[in-house]
Amino acid sequence: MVLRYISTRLLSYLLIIFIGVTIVFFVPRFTPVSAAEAIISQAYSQGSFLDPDAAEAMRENLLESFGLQGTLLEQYGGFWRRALTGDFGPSFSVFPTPVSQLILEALPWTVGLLVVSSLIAWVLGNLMGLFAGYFERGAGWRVMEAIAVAIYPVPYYILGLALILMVSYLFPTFPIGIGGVAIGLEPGFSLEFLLSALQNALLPALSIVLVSYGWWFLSMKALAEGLKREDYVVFAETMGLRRRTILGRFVLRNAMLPQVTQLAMSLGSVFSGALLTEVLFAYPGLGTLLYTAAANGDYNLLVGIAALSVVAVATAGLLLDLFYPLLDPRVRYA
Amino acid sequence: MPELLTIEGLSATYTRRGLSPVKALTNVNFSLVPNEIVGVAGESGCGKSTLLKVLSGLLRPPLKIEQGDVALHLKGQRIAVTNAREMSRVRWKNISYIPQSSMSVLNPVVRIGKQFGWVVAAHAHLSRADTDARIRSFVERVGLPERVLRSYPHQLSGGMRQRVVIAMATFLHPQLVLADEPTTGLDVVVQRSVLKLIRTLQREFGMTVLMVSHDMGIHYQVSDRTVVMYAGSVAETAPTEALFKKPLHPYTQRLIASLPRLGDEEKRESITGSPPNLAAPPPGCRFHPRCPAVMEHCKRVDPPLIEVKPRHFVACHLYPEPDSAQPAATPRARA
Repeated sequence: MVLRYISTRLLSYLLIIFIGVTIVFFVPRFTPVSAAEAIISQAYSQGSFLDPDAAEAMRENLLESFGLQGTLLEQYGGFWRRALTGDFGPSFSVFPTPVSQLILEALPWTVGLLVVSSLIAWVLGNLMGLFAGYFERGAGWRVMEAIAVAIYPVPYYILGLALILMVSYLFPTFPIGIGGVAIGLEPGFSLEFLLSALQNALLPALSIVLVSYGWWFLSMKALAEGLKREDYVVFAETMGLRRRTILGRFVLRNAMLPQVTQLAMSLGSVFSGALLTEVLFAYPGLGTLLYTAAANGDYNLLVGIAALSVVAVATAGLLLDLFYPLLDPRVRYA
Repeated sequence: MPELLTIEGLSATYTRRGLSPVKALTNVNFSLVPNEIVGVAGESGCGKSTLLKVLSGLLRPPLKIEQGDVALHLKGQRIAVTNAREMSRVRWKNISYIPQSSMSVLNPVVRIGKQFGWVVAAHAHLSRADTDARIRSFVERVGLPERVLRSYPHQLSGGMRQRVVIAMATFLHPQLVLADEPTTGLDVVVQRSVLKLIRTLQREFGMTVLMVSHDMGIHYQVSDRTVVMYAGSVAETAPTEALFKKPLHPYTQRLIASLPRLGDEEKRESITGSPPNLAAPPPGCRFHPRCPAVMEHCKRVDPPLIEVKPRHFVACHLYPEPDSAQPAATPRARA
């Protein structure tokens, strides 16, 4: 039974990746942006003269080196052959650096920033929300709720800008970092490098924590309030169980189920980067890379990042499916 | 015999701002002695469940005690149910509760054995191994296989779950168990075995069980004494056998007449009308609009609860007080 449960999940996992990556391959190719045309028109706009034959030859050349020759289906077949070995071809915008190298360079920045700040927000928001929901009448918890309600609906770009303004201009407590570390530092495991990375990541991390904290707080509070009225929580109170047991093993334990699901999904989506955060804070992660790729018609880079994201989200879903029965015994192995 | 629980002149209301208060209980008097099963009967909205809420000491707004005194008497100590601190000290150890629906009163994501352990740990100082061993033997005593302790609630049948809850409620040998319709939602065969279990445990531990049920048949089977409530007041109370043999109050008579009997193919009579609105109850006897024996007097004066035969109390003008000069006796069970 368990084996069948796992094999069905695995099969649908592979299917999701196949369909997702296929869509990701085709969609950019249907957009009007073409990398070859972009370069040629750039040459024109810079004032150099190209006669039509030379332009045609250049187009051919570019298409060949970009791997964009042949029918879509031929390109698609070639794409899978290379993708399975982790090769997504060269980037067009930073030609001829391989896409995989660009992604690998950006990945640690994004994952480090997003995973850490998502986890902090999740733990904080859920804990506070749990108490606020369970001790509804406490004045302190009402204040906490008011804060969460005030922050939660603020659009991220406004919150981020406000944060930059406040911390860097109005009350200049620390400088805004450009990039992942101070300029000129060589990557490595030196103390100086790590401290600089931490300093530059602090503000973007804070902005992410603030935004997602509100959501975790409010959703957990609603869950805890509902659970407090569940028969089994009321009965646990009637039986005079310890408050710690009721809070931890009854309310929190049951409220965890939807929250864990959402955390897994949000961690999966980390791999597409945080576009706004990274652009706003000039952070060298996947989001910035994705932005560059989209602006320059860099199909290979677009597909590479999107494919990574598809795999990551599907993997998060798979792991969730596999571990969920341990969290909720009512899930049947079917 | 010393009383275990006394209820004197209890009136309770549900009060919401902007609405007239609902008088859920009006001048309720009765008491419980050790080692008996007392049934509380009556239609929906007669105050049965409110009574249990007051007794369990878990009073929450909008429910409020207006008047009267409800107290537990444990080892010579008197504990008012309104004393939250004292009540939390005796809760589950001395007074426990079997809820109406055991379908949803167990934590769905925790094994039964673990939940049971928490209940014990909260009230008794026993070692882990000792607790486990005692729980195992107790679970077998209530007729459940040991594997139940390793199961999750959804893996058990309704009857098994109710047995688990009964085991949790009686494990610490409380003197008083409040049972709120403990067999609702169970089929009749299981119902019978659950009632038998409650009865067996009660006899074995010498507990007192206050069993609320709308089902007169259940009271006939298990209750030593039955309290019939109507519209928030006690209409009649007597030893169950006497009550069923010769009910005095017209309401009790109708209730019993509506029970089906084996081999009797006559159509059962039901009580016409419906219970009164407790936000604006009728003057006089609250049953008078539905009473077949209504008199002019009934519409004006609320009849007091009087003892017309030994241990048989009734609140009805059909049974005049033995000596009208004497004030109505406070009904007390004298076992």
